Amino acid sequence: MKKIIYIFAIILPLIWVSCDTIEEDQQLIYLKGITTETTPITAISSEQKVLLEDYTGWKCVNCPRAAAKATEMISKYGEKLVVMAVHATAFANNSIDSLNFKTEYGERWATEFGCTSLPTGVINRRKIGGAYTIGDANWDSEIQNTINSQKHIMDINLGVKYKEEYNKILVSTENIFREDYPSKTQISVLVLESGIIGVQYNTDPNYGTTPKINDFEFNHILRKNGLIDYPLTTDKVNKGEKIAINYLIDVDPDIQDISKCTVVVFVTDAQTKEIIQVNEIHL
Amino acid sequence: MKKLLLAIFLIICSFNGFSQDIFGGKVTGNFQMDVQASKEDSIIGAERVSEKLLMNAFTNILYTNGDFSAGVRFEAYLNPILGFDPKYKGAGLAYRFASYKKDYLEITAGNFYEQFGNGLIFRSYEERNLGLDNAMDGLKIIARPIKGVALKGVIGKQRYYWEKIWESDDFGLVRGIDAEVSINSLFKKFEASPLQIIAGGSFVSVFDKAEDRFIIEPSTGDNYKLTMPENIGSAAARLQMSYKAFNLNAEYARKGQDPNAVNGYIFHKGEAAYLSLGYAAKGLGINVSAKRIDNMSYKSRRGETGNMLNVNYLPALTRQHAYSLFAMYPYATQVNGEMGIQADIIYKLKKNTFLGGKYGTDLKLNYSIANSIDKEYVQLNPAGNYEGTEGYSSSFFKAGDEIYFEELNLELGKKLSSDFKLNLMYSYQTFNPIAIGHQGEKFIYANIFAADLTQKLKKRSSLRYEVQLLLTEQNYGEWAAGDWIQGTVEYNLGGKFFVAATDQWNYGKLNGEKVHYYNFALGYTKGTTRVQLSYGKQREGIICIGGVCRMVPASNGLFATITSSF
Repeated sequence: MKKIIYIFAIILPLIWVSCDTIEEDQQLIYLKGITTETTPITAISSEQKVLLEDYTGWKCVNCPRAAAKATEMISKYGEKLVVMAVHATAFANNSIDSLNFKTEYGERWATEFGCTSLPTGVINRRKIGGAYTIGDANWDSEIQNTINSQKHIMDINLGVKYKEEYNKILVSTENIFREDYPSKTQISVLVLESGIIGVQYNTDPNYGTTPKINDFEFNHILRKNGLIDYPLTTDKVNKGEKIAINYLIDVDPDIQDISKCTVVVFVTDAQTKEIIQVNEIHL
Repeated sequence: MKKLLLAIFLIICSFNGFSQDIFGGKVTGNFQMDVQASKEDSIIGAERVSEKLLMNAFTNILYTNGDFSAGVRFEAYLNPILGFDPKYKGAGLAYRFASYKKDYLEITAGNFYEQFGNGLIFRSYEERNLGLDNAMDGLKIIARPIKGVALKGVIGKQRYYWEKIWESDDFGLVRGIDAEVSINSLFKKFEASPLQIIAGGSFVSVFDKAEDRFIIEPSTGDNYKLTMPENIGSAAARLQMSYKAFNLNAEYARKGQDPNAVNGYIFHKGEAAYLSLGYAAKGLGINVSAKRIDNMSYKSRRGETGNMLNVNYLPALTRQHAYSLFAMYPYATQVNGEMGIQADIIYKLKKNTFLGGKYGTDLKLNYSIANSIDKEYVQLNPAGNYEGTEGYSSSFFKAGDEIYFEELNLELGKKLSSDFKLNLMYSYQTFNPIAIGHQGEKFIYANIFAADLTQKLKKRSSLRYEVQLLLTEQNYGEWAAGDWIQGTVEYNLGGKFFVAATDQWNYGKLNGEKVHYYNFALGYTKGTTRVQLSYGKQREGIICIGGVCRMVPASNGLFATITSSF
């Protein structure tokens, strides 16, 4: 009889956690932010771009080096590269100067892409050598590889306007497919902020004072209230098709200066989550 | 593991002529090959086969040595014969396992089949005629810690044609446990009791990664996202009892929220109940069964709609027919909701009585009905359908208005003399075309008859004559084409050789040619090897086994089968 008790003692807790229940009010969630209001398209792109996600945090002592590398990459690749600094993991907890750069989706992505050790980067959410993460030493070569190898499926054209009267950002998108695409796609619309001064830990004197930089300039910071994985196409899409959708984003109350914000829009394959195209526009 | 099993397989193969005793163990196996050559026939709708020749084949090799066993199954579909999913195309080791017993444990690594209770929440099985194989790939542990108690644990993924299931999150992970207790074995004082009780319970959970699914309100363009449960649990309790000539088998199962492609992505919880009561005495057998199914499609991938990746099995409560015209309009389990009952009476009229005659007479009466369940639909979602909502509520004991299938059949088997044996059968069937995907179309009502006479000849040979007749007023075209008649003559020599000729004639068809579906077959059996060759036409139709169905396309040509075992 003891054996039976032992076996059940192991199994029963497993049963307890092996069933999800979605409450009725959570089964169907309204995706707010889609609007019929438009603003003129001003950022027109006709080249394949690459998104570099720089996973970082103020407690991460090597992250100033990665931030410098990201700036260097922007200088090198220009408009072909979009950089997004995702402050996540325990390295981004409880800033001593009360700056809060963490987002719910940033944390989720850090887990999903295996960003446990910082600094690290993810390029177009593609697996390279079996993993999503790439150390900053390899960013240059992998950005180049991605630019060379990724098929140019579509373009994203953007327009943006800050609606001061209700503190929202209006984003108009035009998604033009250059090729047939067989799978469902999703679109994400995010706001980044640059030019915030704060405390950043550092161990490398080449990038600032040690053990911390008191006036570190944080750039491309991913902000809250982004619209994540909204449906763009729900079936096969044909070459030449244009899908125009407008979005309204609530301004993150932590944003210090709206004029230093950028809107980043990227389209992913709904199945693989790989980024098909990305574009950005300054407010 | 793959390399280890391959090594075992190669060692076994290296012995000349498949010696049956190797390293003190035993090697057994079997083989089957089906070859089809079909030509285009526009009258019956047989399409051109580009390959000219199609083939399905498999061989099982099993090594057993005491408490250890290991085996492989090699399958080849080059290319799949008509009616099999083209995704089977290819060849390779589709099944491999190693298993051993030690102390109170039995451990299996690799592929395995298993069933909990009646299968309401878990059944991993293969039905080759349906092209269905949901073999698990993972681990199975059976523990028998004390007499009368059996505990089973399974974990793994299910086979999906030749897909590399472990390389993709697209295939869900199935975990399950089952416990079964025999009261009579557990407690000594009940050991000799005429009342035998076995109780059991099981739990299964499928981890299927959430997919993004949206609905759009058509007038405003507002988007809504479904929140998918990733761990879909189910539980079941069962009881088996027998007392002298009576027996009972009951099981009740519940399934948690499981929005999927089969149920239209609703959150309504699933439920299934099965009850079977039987009485068996000399010359008389009575069995009454009932079941209720409510939203019980349970798959390890929520977007799947075919026969593959079924985690559970819902027993069919209708008679499985061998005569082909009786199976022309077969019952298919309606997994989204169904209530059914079946009554079976088998009675043997005694020898040397007025009704029984010199040799006695076997009578079989069967009645079955499958009905929809009552559904009270809740509020629509913003897109005007039920996706992402609770869907409906349903009262457990209330049946719906729609009949899916109903049948009354009577069979009489009688030995007329030392040389003649007669079997007569009649069936009245009501068939709802929803079973073959023709939702909302008119019902079929059919009277079906069969007479089957076997004549013993000299030298252990026999002749069999069979006539079947299907009468129906429904004559809608392709799938419901009026009356049919079928005749068969078969000569059998000592169980080794047979030759048969069959003609199935759609003489009642209103529009188009009244086609004769003739077929000539011959077969030879020597030892454990059987070769069969047939030539003729096969009508388009549907075959169902245990309520699970597959479409069979029309064909015209040769079909050969070789089976062997050692």
